Amino acid sequence: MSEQGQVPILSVKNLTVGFTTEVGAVEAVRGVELDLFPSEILAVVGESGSGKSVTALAMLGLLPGDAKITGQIVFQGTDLLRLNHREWSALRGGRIAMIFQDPAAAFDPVFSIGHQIDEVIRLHEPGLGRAARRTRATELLSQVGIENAESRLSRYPHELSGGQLQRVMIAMALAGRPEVLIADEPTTALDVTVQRDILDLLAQLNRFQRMAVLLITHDMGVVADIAQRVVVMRQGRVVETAAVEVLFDSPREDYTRGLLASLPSASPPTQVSSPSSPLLEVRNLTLSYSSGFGRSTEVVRDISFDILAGEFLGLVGESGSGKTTIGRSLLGLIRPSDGAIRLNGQDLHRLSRRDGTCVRSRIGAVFQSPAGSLNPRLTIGQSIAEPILTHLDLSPKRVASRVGQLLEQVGLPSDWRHRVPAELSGGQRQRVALARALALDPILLIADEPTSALDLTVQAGVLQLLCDLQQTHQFACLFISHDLAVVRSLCQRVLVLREGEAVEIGPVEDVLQNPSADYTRRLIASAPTLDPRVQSARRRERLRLLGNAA
Amino acid sequence: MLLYFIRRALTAVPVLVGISLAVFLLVHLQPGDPFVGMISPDTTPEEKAEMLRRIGYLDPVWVQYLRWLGRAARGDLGYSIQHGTAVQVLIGERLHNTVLLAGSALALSLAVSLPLGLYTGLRRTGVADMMLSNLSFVLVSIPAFFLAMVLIKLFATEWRLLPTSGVVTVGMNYTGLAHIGDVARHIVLPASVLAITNIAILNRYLRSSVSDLIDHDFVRALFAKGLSRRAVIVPHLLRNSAKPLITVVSLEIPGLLSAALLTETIFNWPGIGRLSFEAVQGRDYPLLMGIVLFLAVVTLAINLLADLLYAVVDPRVRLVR
Repeated sequence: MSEQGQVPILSVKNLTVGFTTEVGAVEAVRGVELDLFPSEILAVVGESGSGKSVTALAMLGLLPGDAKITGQIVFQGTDLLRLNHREWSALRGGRIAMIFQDPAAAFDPVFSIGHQIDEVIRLHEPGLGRAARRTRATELLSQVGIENAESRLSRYPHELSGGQLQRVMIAMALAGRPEVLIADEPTTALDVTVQRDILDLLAQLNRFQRMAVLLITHDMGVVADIAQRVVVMRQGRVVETAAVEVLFDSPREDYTRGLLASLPSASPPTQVSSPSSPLLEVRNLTLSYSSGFGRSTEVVRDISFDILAGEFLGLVGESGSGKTTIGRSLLGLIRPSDGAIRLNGQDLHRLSRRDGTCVRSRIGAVFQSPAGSLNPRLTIGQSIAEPILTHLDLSPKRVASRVGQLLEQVGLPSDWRHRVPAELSGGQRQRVALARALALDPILLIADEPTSALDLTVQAGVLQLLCDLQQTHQFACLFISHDLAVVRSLCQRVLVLREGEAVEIGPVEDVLQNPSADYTRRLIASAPTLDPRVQSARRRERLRLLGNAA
Repeated sequence: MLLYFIRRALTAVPVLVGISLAVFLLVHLQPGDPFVGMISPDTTPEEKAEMLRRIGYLDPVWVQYLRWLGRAARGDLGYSIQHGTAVQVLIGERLHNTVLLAGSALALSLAVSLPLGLYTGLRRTGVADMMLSNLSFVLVSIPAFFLAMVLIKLFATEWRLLPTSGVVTVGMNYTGLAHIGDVARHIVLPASVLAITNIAILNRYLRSSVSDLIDHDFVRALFAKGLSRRAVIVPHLLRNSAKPLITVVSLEIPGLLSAALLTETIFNWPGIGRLSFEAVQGRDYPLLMGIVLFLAVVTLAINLLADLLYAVVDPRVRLVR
């Protein structure tokens, strides 16, 4: 849909936003131009730091006071940058509403959701009485698909799931009857199945309420799913604007092509020849957390699987399915309440303390957040040297040369060893975490969502590195992920997990092409593909089915 | 919610028993006996032993402890040696003065530190914030007795604005409004001394919790809903920073009561603090034990109240087992 002749409802003209930082003035947004037309979904894409969120916050006047803003943001003929406090208040949440990335963090934890919706209604429809506001809040919750809406009003944010909270957040945004909805990475913190539901909801609101949506995302799959036009941003500038089909079929800019190409491709990985006995055997593993007073909650029930030497086994499932807990038990961080974990035939949890330490030193680990898993006070050289110093008796010189070697293996200059994590980007930090995991030459690597916190292009680099390192080191890997595309490009076999139980296990291609379980099918169908046409056909079909059902 | 409260209340029981045991043993370990300085020096050791036996002093320690505890549980804290009156009656007579003083000091410190903490927390980098922070640091560092003397010197001796001691002006027998005004004039100085240190502490806590909160996503989301600055600050920021505030205040109240010992003595304020000072000086063990036990119970009660308030201001606490 191109809006020739239509007047944009919101247009950003030559917007520049600068911040004063310790290293001097930094321009986060430079001369951005974009138009949002009535009742369209416009996606703004780009990597972190491309200025997309800053642009969105500027549209609501939510930038910090020290931001230097020039240019114009015209909303229905008014330049928003000239508004005073009172005028901003009337506009925000009323005519332009916004929803945020992490719904769990976007609610005030100590007020009920009913109260928080009521605040918006009270503000934007001052005439309504208490009972009328309550009715309206209930309607809004039902509208966004919350069941038993009336009784949910008295719930608190921590009592709802992430997906439900994002629905409530959307209901809250709708409360002021906005003409424009700004959605800042609305599904990044959610599972794929939940993401699909939220995107469905946004598409419906756009279609039936004729609400314009400005969707900020770094996920090209989401863009293909619901956007009609796309603005690509890089380093604070708009590099390309196009209709979604045009952008995906024939991207004009190299950068856009890079964004599209860095999605994990679906090339089948090489099969490993199966040796007689598996490297890791997990038998009837049951894991539980104590919930106090002698009670415990089982998070993982009766799981059995093997990992062969040199094999990548993908472990997929929604959040709360027990993926991470399994990874932690393999690292010896949780004792199984039942079952056995054997590495090369030795039961990890039946060994003496010293033997256990020795066996565990052959298992490396990489975690989701590279920022959280590196000690910020240690240089990266010290972080990498730590496992070596703990387990091996080497001279300082040998340790130093090993650290240098490891840094070069993960593609970082060896003289970076004196830097601290804060001086590195997310991708570089994850490389350091990899180097540390490889320091003891492990035979098994536990990788828990190692790329989920990274931008797509960075993710591609780290995954490639992981493959290359596997070639040289020949380690096996348990790759925990919620991203089926990544698992497909990396793993030979995959184990699908749901609420702590194994749904199916098998070669990646078999499972993803011909899933035998409904759950796996749902998981696959929820992951957006990169083809806008396929995606919109899927959506139409789904909405039709929903319509028939209702 | 009720279950949560009952659990909290039950955990207080062993603490209370522990405190009573500690108080009892500490006093029991003192050299000498309760009759030192009380009976005539002519009494023969035999007579004295007979008297001690009669009051149960020679019984095994645990029997004495249980007897004391049993009486205390019924509200009978024994007789003060100095005053010859029941300890609970003495405490009751002085209690309202201490409550009046500590209560005014608390009210004063909250009234000043709430707006101050919010203001400085919201303007972390401002000059005003820096000056107020430094000032509060200075105030925390001044010992209360010194501050008291400086205030007495300035307001009472030099400028003759306020009285230095007592609750009421002796010999005036004011009634009604005049009486209230008289008490108010007397309370200004001691309450200010107690409040000033408190203000500085509360201000620092509130400032840091507000300035942490302001960076939260949900605060930005509140502004995005169209709420005015005031509508964000008053209900949302205040209620979210209430928990640390409740913690500090509940820790400060016992502090206020014990600081009253000093302040009440300096300002000649007839409260629990001065009573305990007198009890120590006069080796009045029953009175001392009664006061310590009473303060311990008050402290526990305040902690329990704080636990209850946590659950009121933060729904997440209600889930905690």
